[in-house]
Amino acid sequence: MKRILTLCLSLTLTLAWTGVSLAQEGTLPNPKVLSEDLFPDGFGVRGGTVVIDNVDNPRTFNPIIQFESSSDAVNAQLHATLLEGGFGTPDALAENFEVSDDNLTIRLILREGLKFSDGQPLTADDVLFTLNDVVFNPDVISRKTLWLINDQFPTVTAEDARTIVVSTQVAAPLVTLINLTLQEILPKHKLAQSVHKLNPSVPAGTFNETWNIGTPPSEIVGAGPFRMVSFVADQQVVLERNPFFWKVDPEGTQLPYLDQIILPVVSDDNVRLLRFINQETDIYGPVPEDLPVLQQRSSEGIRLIVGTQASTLGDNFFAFNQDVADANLRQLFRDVRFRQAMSHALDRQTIIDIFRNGLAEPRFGPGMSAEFWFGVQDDAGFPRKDLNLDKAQSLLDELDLPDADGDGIREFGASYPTPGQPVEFELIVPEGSRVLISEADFWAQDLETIGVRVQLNPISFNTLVGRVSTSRPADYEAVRIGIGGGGDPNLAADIYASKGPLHLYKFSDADDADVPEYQKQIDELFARQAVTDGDERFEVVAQIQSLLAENVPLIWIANGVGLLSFREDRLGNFAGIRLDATLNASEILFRKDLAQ
Amino acid sequence: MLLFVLRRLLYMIPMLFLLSLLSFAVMQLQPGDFLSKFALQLSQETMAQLRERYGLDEAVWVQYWKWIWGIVSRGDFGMSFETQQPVLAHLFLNGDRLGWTLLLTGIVFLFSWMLALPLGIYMATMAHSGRLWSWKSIVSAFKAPAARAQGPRPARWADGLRAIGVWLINALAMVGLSLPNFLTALLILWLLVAVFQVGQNFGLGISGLFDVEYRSAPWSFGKFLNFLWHLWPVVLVVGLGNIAQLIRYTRANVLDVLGEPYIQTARAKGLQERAVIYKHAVRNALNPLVSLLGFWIPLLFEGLLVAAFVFQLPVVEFAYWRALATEDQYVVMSGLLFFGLVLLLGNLLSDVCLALVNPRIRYE
Repeated sequence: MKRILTLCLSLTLTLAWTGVSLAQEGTLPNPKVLSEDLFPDGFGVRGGTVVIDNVDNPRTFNPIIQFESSSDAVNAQLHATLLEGGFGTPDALAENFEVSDDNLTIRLILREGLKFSDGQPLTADDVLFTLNDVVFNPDVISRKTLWLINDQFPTVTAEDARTIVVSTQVAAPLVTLINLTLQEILPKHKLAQSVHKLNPSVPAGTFNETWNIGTPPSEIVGAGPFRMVSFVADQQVVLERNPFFWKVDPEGTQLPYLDQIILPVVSDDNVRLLRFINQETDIYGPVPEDLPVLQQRSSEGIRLIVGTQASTLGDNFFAFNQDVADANLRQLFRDVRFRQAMSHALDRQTIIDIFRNGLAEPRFGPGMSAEFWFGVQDDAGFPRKDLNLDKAQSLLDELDLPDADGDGIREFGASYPTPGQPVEFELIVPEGSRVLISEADFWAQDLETIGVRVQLNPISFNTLVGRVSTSRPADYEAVRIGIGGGGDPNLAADIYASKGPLHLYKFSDADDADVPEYQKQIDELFARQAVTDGDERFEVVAQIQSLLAENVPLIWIANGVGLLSFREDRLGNFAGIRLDATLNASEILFRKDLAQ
Repeated sequence: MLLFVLRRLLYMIPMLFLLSLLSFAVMQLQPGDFLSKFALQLSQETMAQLRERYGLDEAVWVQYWKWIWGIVSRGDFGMSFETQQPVLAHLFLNGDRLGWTLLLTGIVFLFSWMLALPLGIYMATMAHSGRLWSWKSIVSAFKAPAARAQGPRPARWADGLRAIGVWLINALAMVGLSLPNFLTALLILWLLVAVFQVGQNFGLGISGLFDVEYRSAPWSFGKFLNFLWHLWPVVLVVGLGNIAQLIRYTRANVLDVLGEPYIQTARAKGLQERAVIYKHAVRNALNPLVSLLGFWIPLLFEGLLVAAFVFQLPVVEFAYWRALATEDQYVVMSGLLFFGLVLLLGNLLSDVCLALVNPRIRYE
């Protein structure tokens, strides 16, 4: 028996594959049977509707080219992936998989009898179409670069109607497996005619316009728990149960329980809150300011879930541009002692208490503590550069930055290209966010007490993004920004690896010029973590975090705790859902009031 | 008149062309473009692919020329970057946006004028008639009958009621003019939810034009009633400020006319007061109001934007606002042309109406 690789996914603990095969009456020969611990409120009854406001109209129903949450809120319900996390075992459309001994090949077996929401069979052909003809297609605007391993796409072939083989030139099975958990499988019978490669009569790039919001709902086909009924722009999207869905509960009842999900379009935050209080919606994602209002209404059937650990996705930080044009600042920013001093001068807890109602956790490295990989940052020995103004002062004193004129602001000493200039830098912040500007201003005031002057400059988000990420070299001195993302360490390489597209603190590392030693170690460790698993991978990722925390290329601030509120009197099994995955477990939701 | 109308229609063409140039220039002055917000999410290769696909990698004059030539040669106003749909479909047809916009604007217009004109006329006639309470009239009521003849008519209870009525109308006008539409809208929603608890007590929703269960349902009496329930806050929010202005304009104009010598002549001829006011005074007082029509219609569109944002209305203005926020440039420019056309047509309409109501005005 070939060695089976233990799958480490971002959303679950380390799991072993278990093959499950149950014949269920009226359903697939081999549906996925969810484990009992996913049903804290018990097994539901079929029926009912859930209403959740969507922040905007979906822009597209094509999951390949969607880039916004309003589209994902809809499309996530319509499609399925070969593997998945968050539902116990990783099998999804693929009932099992195995990795070859040399880690170069992954073989997946589709469940027998799979169908799309229009009743057409889902076979290996659709998987090949999705990957070879769509995702890897140069004409299609997809996130194809995620699949590249040593600048090459995997080779995807089919042995038969249910068996898919994914091969790579370099052993990196985890990267491929992670991508397989993220990649929706599309219906070839619906979309092939819009791919120029398969249908030369259409212009190249036609696929990018396919499944736009003007498409009739019956044409939007997937293997997810729901299928589309209607979409009225500026009003709502209505989804109904997919009668061909491939999951059942432990009692054999086909999922999802709900008949419908309705997603009204409501852009205004205040109105979404009012509608939730008015009992028009069943789930609501509050901001910290909403908490007092919601807590008062617990007697009205509203339950508020406040996470105990930071669980919002992404990194929030201050960054110094180590390629800055100013020679004094460039020398200063590249000195680890300066960055450590800046981190020691950041009063994270007070920022959290004042500006985030206490609903966040201080961060000293990437990711968030609720994730399996990043919990090491809470360990006692982790090199946190926490608030310590005396330490910050002493580090700056080591850097030849005396306050020669006694005005309270340090000047560059003789060891710098232009001595005598005041130590000051511009900090750009997105102008639309009161909280971000306030946090930056708070930090700037503390920095001034240790002799560093900050020129706070709120600018438009588009301008900021252009200066920080598009320009080469980046056109900024310091920035306050947040970058969203998933929790798997491999995705963090975009920021922290030298050649990562978002390595915005020192883009010159990609040219192999003057790369610091710790950065080289981080690059090697990122390469290693992509080809290891289990305890070894955990250790490698922990080392990356320690190196980053010690060398502080970024000054991480805080990540919010998860906040969700829902109608406890109506919804069952909601508490089983991850705080940052509001509807990712829509298949196990049920209407309690119908069950009574 | 026909030649006049045709001439004005022809003048619109260069005006709209200039407007298109201006809107394009303003779009280019904004930092970044539609794709800028994705720079932290997408790879540089994907960004380059998107930029080429949307034509954003071309010189600005090339982008403008392609767009304007598309309009002139084949009526193609370009593509929405967001939805990948033709601009006209995205802006006007999705969700029946144009239909709802015209319907809501028309309802608010009718409501505003039907309410404001009578109120303004009433306030003017009351102010002119001396049949309201005043300090002198109140004092006169307490004088001896013989002394009353030398002063103003003694106050009566009916005068008091009229005075309260006029005061309330004034107050309404002041509130309507003072409160921002946005605040009025949120206040209404707060009242409905927190005070009247319409959801818990009556099962009624807020925002949008229908409750969730009616939105995709076919028309029925229940759906129509639900529509009326959702309509009144919109009409109130958009109409309040307009009503206030119209009341004051109407009152001022009618008062001016009531002081004219020919009104005195009409009364001296023995005409009934009703005929004096409505046949002579109001008809002449309306002329300046008709000329305001041209500005009123764009104001209604603007007011609808605020209501649309709070109440989530499926209207053109909201789609236009989103296009502005996301720098969906062809939607913005086409939308601006549309609103410019509305303004020009509104002005033409008011000039034509003015000629119809005022025989002294003739266009050559």
